[in-house]
This record gives sequence, C-alpha cells and structure tokens, in this order.
Amino acid sequence: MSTQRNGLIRPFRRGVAGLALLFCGLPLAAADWLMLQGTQPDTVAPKGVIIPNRDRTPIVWGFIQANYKQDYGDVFVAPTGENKTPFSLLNPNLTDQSGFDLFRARLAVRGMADNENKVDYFFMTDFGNNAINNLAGHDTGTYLTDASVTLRYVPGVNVRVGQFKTPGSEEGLRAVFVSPYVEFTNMTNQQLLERQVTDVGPAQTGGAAGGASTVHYTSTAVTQPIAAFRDLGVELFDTFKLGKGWHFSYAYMYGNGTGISHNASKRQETHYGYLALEENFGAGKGFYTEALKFFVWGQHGTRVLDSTDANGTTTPVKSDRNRYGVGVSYYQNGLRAEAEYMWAEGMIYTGAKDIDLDPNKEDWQLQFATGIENRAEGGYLNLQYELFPKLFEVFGRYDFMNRLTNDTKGERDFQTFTLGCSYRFRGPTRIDFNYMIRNAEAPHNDAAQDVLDNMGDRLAIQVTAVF
Amino acid sequence: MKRTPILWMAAALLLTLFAPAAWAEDEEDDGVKIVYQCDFPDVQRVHLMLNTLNNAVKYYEKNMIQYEIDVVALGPCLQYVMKDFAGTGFAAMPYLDHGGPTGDGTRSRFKSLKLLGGDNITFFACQNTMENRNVKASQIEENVELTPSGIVKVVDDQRHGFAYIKIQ
Repeated sequence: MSTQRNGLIRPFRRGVAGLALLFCGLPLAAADWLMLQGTQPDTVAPKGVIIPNRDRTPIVWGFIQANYKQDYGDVFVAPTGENKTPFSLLNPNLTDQSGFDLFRARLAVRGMADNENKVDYFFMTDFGNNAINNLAGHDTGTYLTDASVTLRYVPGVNVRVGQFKTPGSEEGLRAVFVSPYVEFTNMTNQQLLERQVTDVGPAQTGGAAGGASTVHYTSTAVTQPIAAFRDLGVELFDTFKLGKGWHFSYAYMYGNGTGISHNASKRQETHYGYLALEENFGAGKGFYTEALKFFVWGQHGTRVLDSTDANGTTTPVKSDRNRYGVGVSYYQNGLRAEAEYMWAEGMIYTGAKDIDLDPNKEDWQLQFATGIENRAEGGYLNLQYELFPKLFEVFGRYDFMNRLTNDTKGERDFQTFTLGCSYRFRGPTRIDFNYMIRNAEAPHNDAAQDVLDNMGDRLAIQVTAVF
Repeated sequence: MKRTPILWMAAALLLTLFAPAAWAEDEEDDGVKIVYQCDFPDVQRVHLMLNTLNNAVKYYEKNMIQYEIDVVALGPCLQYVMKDFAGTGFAAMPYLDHGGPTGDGTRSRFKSLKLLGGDNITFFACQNTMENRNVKASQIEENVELTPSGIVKVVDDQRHGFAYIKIQ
C-alpha cells in the first residue's frame, strides 16, 4: 500500500505542472486578497451606481464555524506510556477521536478612519477552540488575531502596519470561512501554519527524533498560539490594472516572525514577498469573484530557540525558516480549480510528541528539525463544482507533503484525498461535509511505518454562519 | 330653389353640434400614448413602474385599444436596461436577476413586458447618461433603442400628446 501511494506523488506533481500549463492559455483571475483584506473598497454601488466610497460607518461582521469530526484511525500508546499517534486525535486538544467543536468564532470591525479612504483599519478577534487559543491542548488564549491600519497616501504603495495575514499561499491568505474544506492540506497545516515555541530541550537525533540523523529540538513549554498565517510588522502592497480585466499585485512585508504571540522583539525577523497576475471576468465578489490568478510567493526568516541541556545550560539556537510557493486558481461558471506547489527549507515542523509517561494522559510538545539542510515539499490540486449554482457544490482535493526528504530515516510522506459536498444557505453561510482518505509513509523506516499505519480516514461536518 | 338664411343657420348649428364628436373620434383613433420617465435607482420603484406598465399593456391588449408607450431610462435607471457592466459607472446588482414579484429580478420583467407589448412599447436609453457613465451601445440590451437625450425625449413625447408618468 505504501509503495502504491508513493507512486502517486510524482505523477501528481506532473499533474499540477500540467494544469498550470493548461491554465496559461486561458483568461483567468481570482480574489485579490491583498486589497480585500488590507483596504476598504475605492468605490461602492449601493443602488447600482458606482460612487467613491466615503462611508465612515464601521462595518461589524464575523462568522461562526462549529463542526463534528470522527477519526477512524487507531491510537497507539507505547509500553513506555507515550501516545505515538497524534494524527489519530482531533485538533486542537489532541485527546479524542470524535466530538463537536466550536472551531472558530470570530468578530471583526473594519472601515475607514478618515473622510477620504486614505486611512483604513481592520480588527478581528477569535473566541473559538482552535490552535489560536488552545494549541495542542495548551492554553494559549490569544483572542486577538488582527489589528492593522493601512495608509493609502502614496499612489502604488499602500502601507499596512500592525498584525495581519502575511502575503503567502492562497490557502493561508484567503478568508478562511469561504473554504468548504474543514481541514488544511498537509503542507499548509504542518509547514506554513507555524507553531511558535521558544523554550526547547537538548538537541535530539536518532530514536528521539523519529530515527532522523538531522538535529531536532522539542519544546519544553507551549505558551504561544499558532501563527495563523499572520505576523506583526509592516507591509507595502498594491494592485494595478493592466487593461482588459488583468491586474498585477505585489506585496512585501517585514515582520517580527512571531506570529500573533504579541511579541515586540524582531529577533526572528522575517521577509515576505508576493506577486500575482490575475484576470477578473467581471462577475461575483470576494471569494466568488470569477477570475484566474497566477501567484508566486516566498518568505525568509530566522527563528531562535532557547535550548536547555541536561545540565541546565541554555543556549540560543538560530535557524532559517524559508518557505516558497507557486500556484494558480480559477473560478468561473461554478467551476473552481486550484493548484499550488510549495516547498520548505530550514526549520521543519516534525509533529507533536507526547512526553507524559502516564498512558492515560498526554502532554503534547512540538518538535522541529532546525538545520538549513532540511527540506520539505508539498502541494494540492483542488476541484470544486456547483451542481446547483450558489446552492450545492461537490468537491475533491488531493494534497501531499514529503517531510525531511533530505533525511533517509526521518522522511515522512503524507497524502490526503478529501471528498465532499456543500449546501449553501446564503453566500458563504453553509454546511460542509468532508471525508478525508488519509495515508502516511515512512519510506525508509519500518518502525516509524508501524506507527503511521495507525492513521485512518476522517469524517468532518461543519456549519458556517457568516454575518 | 332659393335657400333661405334660416336654412343656412340650421346647417351651421348642426355643424357646431356634431363637429366636436367627430374630432373626439379622431383622437380615439390615435390611441393612448404614454411616456414613462425612469431616472431613479430604487429597485422598488422600478418594480412598481413595471407593475403599472404590465397592467396598462394587458388592459389595452384585452380591450383592443391602440396604444403606444415609451419608457425612457436615464440617469441611475440606465442600469436596468444594461446587459454588461464591465468598465462602466454602474455595478451589476443582484436585483437585476433576483427578487421582485416573479423572483427573477427586473431584467426578465423588462423582457416579458416587451414580449407582451411588442411594437407598442419601446424602451429608450439616454446617450447622455451612457457617455457620462462610460456605457457602450453594445452594453445595452438588444430590445432597447438609443435616444440622444432622455429628458428631451420625454419633453418631445409630451409635446406630441403623450401622457407623462413618473413613479414616486
């Protein structure tokens, strides 16, 4: 089974490339998340007539996502008491295989602070049970996800300051409530959705690192929220019309590299870049804008872990954390097609590790490989089709991630095929059904494969209400 | 035989009595003429206008009364006779295809009205508004004629005996 699944990966990569080439010949465009999230619209058309937007009334909005999940994998607890199968447990608590969750509950306010739409603001909070407030079962209550001000005085250069989504992958940059997929892809979940830790134990290799020969570190305390694709810093961005519906977007951001952990230090400084070329076909709004978009992005940052050895000596460990991606998205006449290929180097997240020797309890800590030699790659191919326009949609997504491809024993390959359907009550307010066919392999590590064989499929049903 | 002045007077009196009736019959032969001025953006008012138009057209068709109706769209109302909004000063709003008495929006109601009234009803799009709002002729619905100035068209119609209606 493992070999068979492994054989699917390379053809998939070729498929992604082929799809991108196919789209090169079509007129395409997609939602311009930079402008949608960073600025108030230049114009409004309250009664069909387009006029300059000068409405200072704050816009209050939000959404709630509640879900039920059932994991069909097995849980394996080692004779020494550690739970070895976090992948069979549900996020964010990592304690059970089924249950209801109030996954996201967000309230936001946005608008313009002046009379000329030159100073815009965006503020959002989250009160859900997710990795922002409860990462791997640790109370990381943060609640504030976004607070930013955008200055629009210089033509061609909007300046956004504060805490907000970083320019990056489509899956991370998009408004999360619009996606019918309850879970992120493997690559996005593990390598883009950054777990932030500072205090770690001593360097680990071999058995303590899943058999890997590269150096790993495991946290000793989880106190910071997941980064949620966000950072604190300053971003320069804008979108330009190229004619005949085509637009070009750029963004550069300099951030602390500390996610949403309310950290004013820049010792993990990170640079983010993003370019997009898209054609807007003229219909729809936001995520439902009929468009074709090509995009490329990258980020380069440093991370500092404070490693304390058995003697109690603490040493800072610096590492690079680089991420890159290229992709395409298309939406028209109810058909949505998306493909993205991403790769990572430097700091690689290698999963949650239970360090509690009590077989009935778990204390999940987070492990990372830190050397610049480390590599991971992944991507996804997504197809969605509205069988009944704006009412009923079916979809399927294949995604993969090959982690630590530079380390024979440490390599882990993940593939998930998600099938689902969505019934929309109004706009993005809907109910989603997902069934995830999941598989993981340790191609050169039989002991690790025995553990990974406990992975099973997963069912998720989620209701989203947007107001 | 020599006619007397009394006979001449009687003939003149008869003419005086019957001539107005004859003119009135001539006016009925011309039929009913109505011009609707649509210069507002509000969809509720547009639906009300369409209601009155439907009622009028059905009545005249049923009673075989000759009629001529002009609907002149100018200003914000121009959006209701457009089929393409790309690059214009108007936005395609949901109410064009959704809502209203039929649930299918205003666009389908305008088309149904044209099918019902045929050549007796004509929609006009104001070219002044089109120029100001960057609307090309190709972006106007096929069943709509262009007029250089919507307001001048309304005035001209009134000078030619059209009854003037604007929904408040």
